This record gives sequence, structure tokens and C-alpha cells, in this order.
Amino acid sequence: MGRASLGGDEMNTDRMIGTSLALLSALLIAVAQRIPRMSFTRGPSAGFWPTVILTMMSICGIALALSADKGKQTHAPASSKGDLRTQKGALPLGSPGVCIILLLLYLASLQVLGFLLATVVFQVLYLYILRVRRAGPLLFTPVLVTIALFFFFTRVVYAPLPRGMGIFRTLSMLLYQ
Amino acid sequence: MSSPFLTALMSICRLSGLLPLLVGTMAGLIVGVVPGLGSIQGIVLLLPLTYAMDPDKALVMLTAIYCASVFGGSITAILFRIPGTESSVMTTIDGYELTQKGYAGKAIGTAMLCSGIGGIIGVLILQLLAPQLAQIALKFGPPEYFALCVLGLSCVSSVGTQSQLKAVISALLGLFLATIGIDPISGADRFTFGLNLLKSGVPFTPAIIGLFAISEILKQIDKPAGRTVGSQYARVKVQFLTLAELVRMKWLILRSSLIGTWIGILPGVGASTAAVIAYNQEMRLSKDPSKWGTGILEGVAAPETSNNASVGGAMVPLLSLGIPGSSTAAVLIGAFLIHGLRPGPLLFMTNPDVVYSIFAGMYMANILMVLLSFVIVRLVVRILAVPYSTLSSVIIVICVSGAIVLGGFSNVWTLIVFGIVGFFMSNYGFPLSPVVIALVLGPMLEANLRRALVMSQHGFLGFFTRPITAVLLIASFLYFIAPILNRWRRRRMGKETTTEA
Repeated sequence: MGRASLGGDEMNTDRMIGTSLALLSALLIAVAQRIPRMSFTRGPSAGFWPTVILTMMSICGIALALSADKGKQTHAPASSKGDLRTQKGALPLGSPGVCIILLLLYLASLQVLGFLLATVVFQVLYLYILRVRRAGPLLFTPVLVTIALFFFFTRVVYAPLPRGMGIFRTLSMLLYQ
Repeated sequence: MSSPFLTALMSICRLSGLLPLLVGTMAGLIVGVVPGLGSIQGIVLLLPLTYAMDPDKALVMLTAIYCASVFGGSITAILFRIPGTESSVMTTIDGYELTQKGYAGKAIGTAMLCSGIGGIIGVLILQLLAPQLAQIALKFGPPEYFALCVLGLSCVSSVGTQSQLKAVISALLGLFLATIGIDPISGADRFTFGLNLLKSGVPFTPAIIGLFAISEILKQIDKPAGRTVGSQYARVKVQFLTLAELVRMKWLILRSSLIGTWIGILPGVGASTAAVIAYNQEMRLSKDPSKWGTGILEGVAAPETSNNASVGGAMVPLLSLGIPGSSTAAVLIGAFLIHGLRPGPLLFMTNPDVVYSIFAGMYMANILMVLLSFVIVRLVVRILAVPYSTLSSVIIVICVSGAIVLGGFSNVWTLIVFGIVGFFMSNYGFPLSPVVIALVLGPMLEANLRRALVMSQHGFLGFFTRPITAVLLIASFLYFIAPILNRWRRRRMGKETTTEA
């Protein structure tokens, strides 16, 4: 990810994206056609505008796939400032794929562990994946940031944050009092 | 200027008037900077503090929040690609590119100055022409609103990308996403697939924060470890436009102010739409539209001038007719009522001191906003020296917290899903700004299209029987195809040159 692609790869990607887009749009058009038309409303139905948009999207998807077939490069060239693998000795900060998985796990755990615990754990794991090893940034920063955010949102803005379930909820409630 | 205005201005400049103004402006900047908070939350939070205040001081403080929050969002938009408020979405496009090029200080200075100028021009128009403009605004019907939205969308073929086809696909994606939820006209479920969290549609703010901020973080962590966002930006010094640059951009600033003020006057249309329309227009009028989106000062000046000018515009129908020009103005109506005032034409006669205090307060708020921004920016810029690994983790949790505050846990899923979608879109050359433009304009475009078709006896041809609508639609069509024709012509000239050789 983030790697500069060769022309052939780009065309394949464009072809795949264009075809998928056209197929998905066609499927969604079928869904749009089934949106009920209410008898008390005049003018275009609720499905009219989505059908128009999806039709245009499917045409554009076909055009993208065909332009890839014709060998036209529609993919904007990767920005050179982003392609740092070419720099000698440079290592990426982390892997976007792993971070996406971590983000999804964080979200899934928010309701169970509560905001406080889930956020601290997420930040520690995230920083560890990004190769932070010093104790200060790795351990203290997540705790300080989480507590600061907690107090700002709950005491200043009066917005409730997830409190967790079971024992985690009990622990969270200690701070809410 | 009339003497009641001068009296109000002098009253504002005393300590008893200056303190609420300062509090309001600073609060506005802070809520603008924090993603997930905005002018509405700022006004609602500070409203209880105003119960014991005089009505004029109270309204000065609350309108100062409104003025300052519209600008506040641009600070994080420029530095971190996180639009703090909806109105700063367009600033993100060129503002962040300028930061990447090392011109963060200049971008922020441009935003500060242009916001101040736009805000002052908006208030000036408000003060001089409020009742007359309000009457004209009432002539705008669904066909005109629809045409305005189409004009705003017509820029997507040129924004920030080398592939117009992919830009159009991005815009269509945004328009489609805007249809998800319960149809506001008929009440039918559209593309909710039985999920309750989709019934109210795609929440806009978490979606744009995800598209811009989260996707950018995912892109940036694919880069060398240990770097800061801009260790070279740690000494960011705010730089205003030079006199030469200001003179060069004088017409851009004036046009954007007028566009912003006018868009603000139209009920139901707010600062984000003003920023989109102004950006679109100025890009069209520029000598080199292809530079827009790559990091130019004009790309910051136009939306920032326009969105702050729209604040003055939004107060026009509020004060003259009692109709809110934006959702924040709608909340301000509540503030008026709490203090025993009824906005509308009689307000100018029964409480002229309050009206002139609001005018004076808004002038002062725009000036104070520029001065206080130096403090906020210095605090925010220190964050840039933090290693990106730590900074990105903090940004993620702030965005998640902000999303929860905005509307519950479902917003967090929207944030992350859009972040992932934005990451892949950027990787494969699909620009993000058309998605955002379409999300802003899509709901209004569809609702007004359908209302207009119901009203019209001639179907789509009815749009062209109304002069304003016809002009806007034709202009939109020309704006949309111009880059495509230019590209085709350049390719043809290239082929002919090759043949001759």
C-alpha cells in the first residue's frame, strides 16, 4: 500500500474498480426500484434520484474499465513525496493494514471495556506497532491523553462516553462520580 | 455610521462589554478547533452563562462564538487535514497541501486575515442592507436552490486530480451516500437495509473527519519512523499576506465575501455551502484552474473569506424577518427568546440598541478573532513537534471522542469506515474533495429538485423558464465541460503537432 504502481498494475486496478462499480451500481439500481412510492406524494418518487445517480455511476464505471483496456492511464501518478521506500535505509512507520485491524478492534472493545480502558489499550498497542519503545511515550502519554479527554468531554462538554460492561463499567463509574 | 452604532461600539469597548466578547471569541476558536464541536455546541454550552447578563452583552458573546468558530476549524484543517468544522472542509484541500510544502504559517495567516476581512464585509452588508436583501432572498425558490447546488457541483471535474472521470465517480459516490436514510419528502427508507443506524442518513461530520483525517493518518504511517508531521514546521510562524499579495487577491476577496454573504442570507444554506461555491467560482475565474488543489494561497483565501462572510449573511434574515439563515442562527433565535427578544422587523424599532450592539460586536469579534488566533495557533503548532506516531494516536482518539459526542457510537463506525474508504480511494487515485462537496450539496440538491418538479407544470423545462435558474444551470454546464474540452483540445493539438513533425 502506498507503493508507486507500474502502469500495468494501474490499468488492471482501474479495470477491476470500473467493473465492480458498474456491477454494484446495477445491483443498487435494482434496490432503488423497489423503494416504495408513497401515494400521497406528487412528483418524482424516493427512488428517482438514487436511480439517476446510480445509472451515471454505472456508466462511469464502464467508462473507467474501458479506458483501462485502451491503455489510457487514468490513475494519478503516485506522489513522489509519499514513496519513501526508495530512500535508502528508510523504514515505514507502520503498516496501514495492521492499524486498520487495530482500529476495528478498538471500536469493538469500546462498548465492552469502556472508553477509558479501551482508549489506553488502543494507544499503547498502536504506538507499539509503530515501533515506539520508550516508556514515557508508550505508557504515560496514552494514560494522560485519555484522562484529559475524559475530563474535557464529561466535565466540560457534559457528553457521556462509553462506560463499558460488567466489571469495566464499575471501574469506569468510579471516575464518573 | 449612525450615533446609535457608535454608542454601541463604545459600550462594547468598555470592560463590561469587552469581557463577554473576549470569552465568546476564545470559546468560538476553541470549539472550532476541536473536531466534533462547532458553533452550535459552543452557543449551547455558554447559553446558561448569559442568563444573568444584559441581552445585548449576551447576544454579543453568542454571536462572537459563531464568528470565531467558523474560522477556528481552519487551523486544524490546514495543519492536520482535520476540518474542525464543516465550513473549513474546502480550506483543507489547499491548506494542507501548503503545510506539506512548508508554508503552514503563510496558509494560517492567509486564513486569519481573509476570515477577518470576509467577516467584516459580511457584517457591513448586514448593517447597511439587511431588510432589502432579505426580501430578495425570499424570491429564491426550489429551482434556484437546485441550480445553485448544481453550480457548486460543477467544479468537481477540476478539483485536485488528473483524472476527471475519477473525480466524477467520487462526486457520484458522495451524491449516492447523501441519499441513504429516510427520504425527507416521502418518508421511505432508502438503502438502510434494515439498519437503524442508517435511518438518519450518513452523518456528515464524522464522515468528513474520517475521509480526511483518518485516511491521512493511514497514509502517513506508511512513511519512515520517527518523523514528525513537520519537524520543519515546529517553528511555524504566522505570516499574513503581503500588501502585494493582498492587492493581487483583492477581487478574489471581494467576490468571495459577496458570494459568502449572499449564500448566508439564503435560509437553510450555511457556511460550508458558501465555501464550496466561492472555491468553485474563484477556481473558474483564475488564470490557471489546474493549480487549485495543489496548494495555493487563493485556495485558502476564497473559502475562508466566504465562510466568514456567510455569518453576517445568516444574520440578515434572522434579524430582519426572524427566519434563521443557518442552523447556528436557528439556535441563536432561542437565545433571543430567552432574553425576551423576538427577532424580526420590529426588533429594529423596539430594541435598536441590541441590534447595533450585535453589529458592533460582530465587527469587534472578527478583529479579536485574528488577534486571539495567534495564541491558539502557537498552542496548536507546538503539537507539530510531537513525533507522528504519538500525534496520530492522539488525533485518532480525539476524532473518536468527537464522533461519540456528535451523535453516539454509530458515528464512530462512520468515522472509521470512511477513513478506510478514504485511504483506499486516495491510493487508487480517486480524489476525496468531490465526495465531500457532494455530501454537502447532495441533500439540498435532491430535495429542491423534487420540490421544483412538483411545482413545475413543464417538468424539467420549467427550470429554464426562471431566469436565475436558467443562467445558473447553463453556467454550471459550461463550467463542467470546460476542463474536459480543454483536455480534448490539448490532446488534439498534441496529435496535430506530432503529425506535422
